Amino acid sequence: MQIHPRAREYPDSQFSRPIRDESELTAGVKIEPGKSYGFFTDTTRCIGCKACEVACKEWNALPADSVGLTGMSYDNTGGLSASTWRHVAFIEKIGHGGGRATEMAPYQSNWLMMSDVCKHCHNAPCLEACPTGALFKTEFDTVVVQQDVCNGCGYCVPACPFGVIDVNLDDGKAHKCTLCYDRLKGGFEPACAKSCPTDSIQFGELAELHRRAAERVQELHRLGVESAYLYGTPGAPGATGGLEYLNAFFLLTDAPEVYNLPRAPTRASNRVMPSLLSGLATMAGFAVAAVALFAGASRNGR
Amino acid sequence: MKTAEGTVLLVQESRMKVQLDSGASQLFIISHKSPAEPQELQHLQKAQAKVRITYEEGDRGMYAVARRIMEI
Ligand code: SF4
Ligand code: SF4
Repeated sequence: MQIHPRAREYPDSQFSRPIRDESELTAGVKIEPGKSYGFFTDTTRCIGCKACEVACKEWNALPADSVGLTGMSYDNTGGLSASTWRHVAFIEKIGHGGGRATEMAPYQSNWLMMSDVCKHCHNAPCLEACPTGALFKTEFDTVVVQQDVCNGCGYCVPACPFGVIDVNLDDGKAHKCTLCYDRLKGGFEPACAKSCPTDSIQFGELAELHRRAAERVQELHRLGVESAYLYGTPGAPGATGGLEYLNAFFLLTDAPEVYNLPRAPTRASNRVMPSLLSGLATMAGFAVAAVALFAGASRNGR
Repeated sequence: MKTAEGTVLLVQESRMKVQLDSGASQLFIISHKSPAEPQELQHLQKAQAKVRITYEEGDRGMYAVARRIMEI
C-alpha cells in the first residue's frame, strides 16, 4: 500500500484536533458531495475479528443486543437489526453434500466469513416504500433515515429485500447503517472500513471500488479460487429486479444463499402495479358475476 | 421508574451516552413516549449538559429507556 504524501504532515501519534480530509490518508479518497461512495466487502480477506461490528457500535452509540450465546458458531449478534448495523457471519463449511464430516481439507480454514451491512441500493426499495420521506439519498449517494421525520410505521421493513432495516419498538423509529453519514460530512472514512485490519471492507468512490473488485476477482481466479465472483455490481447477482446496483457490494466464493443473501432480490414497487391490476380484475370479475346472477334471476321471474 | 443524574457525553439519533454521577457510563434510548425528540438532544451533547433522567430498563438490548430528560 502506498503512503499518501500528506501523511508526512502528521508525524505525531497524538493529535489535538481532527485531521482535515482524513479519509485521504486512511482510505486514499477525498470525500466530496455529489460523488457516489460505497463499500467493497471482500469476504476472502475477512478473518472474523469483528472489529467492524465494534467500531460501528462505538461510533454510533449502538447497544449490544444481548450477552448470551446464540449457539450459532462464533456469531454473537445473529443478524442485522435496529442496533446491529454490521454483522459478521460465520459460515462453517464442514461436511459435504449434507453428510457428516469425518475429515477436513488440510490448510483450509473451512470457514466463510462475511461482514454484512445495508447495501445502500441504487434504487432503494426501503426508500420507495417510505410514506413520510424519512428515507432519503444523501449527497454521497447513500441511503439514510432522517430520525426526526420517521414515524415508525415500518413499511420499509418488508420492502427491503435483504432484511436489513428494522424498527426499534422502544424509540419507535427505523434504524440501519448510515454509511457513517456524519463522518463522511467531516471528511472521515466510515468507522467499520477504517477499523478493518485486513481491508476486507474497503470504502471509496464506487467506480474505483468496481475497478478494484474486478481486479481482485481476476487475481483470485489466477490463484485457483475459481468460485470468486461479485455480488451487487451492475449485471451481477444481487443487482437484479430493478435494483440496478448496490453501493455496498461483495466478493463471494459460494452461492449467495450460503451467506444469507437473496440470489435475485427485487424491488417491492415492481409488484405494486401487477397486484393493483389483479385486484381490479378480481373486483371486475365479481361485478360481472353478480350482474349475470341478478339478470338470470330476474329473467326467471324470481 | 428510576432516576439518574449525569453528564451527556454523546448523542447519536435517539441514543445518548451519559456519564452517571456514580462514575459508570450508561446508554439511554429516548422512549417514543418521551416528549423529547432526537433532534432536541444535540444541544445537550454540545453543552456536555448535566441532566436528570427518569428511565426504565430496556428489555430488547443493553440500554435503558429514557422517559423524561431534564437539564439541571
Ligand atoms: S439494503 Fe435494504 S435498507 Fe439498505 S438501502 Fe437497500 S432496501 Fe434500503
Ligand atoms: S473488521 Fe474486517 S476482518 Fe474484522 S470481522 Fe470486520 S470485515 Fe472481517
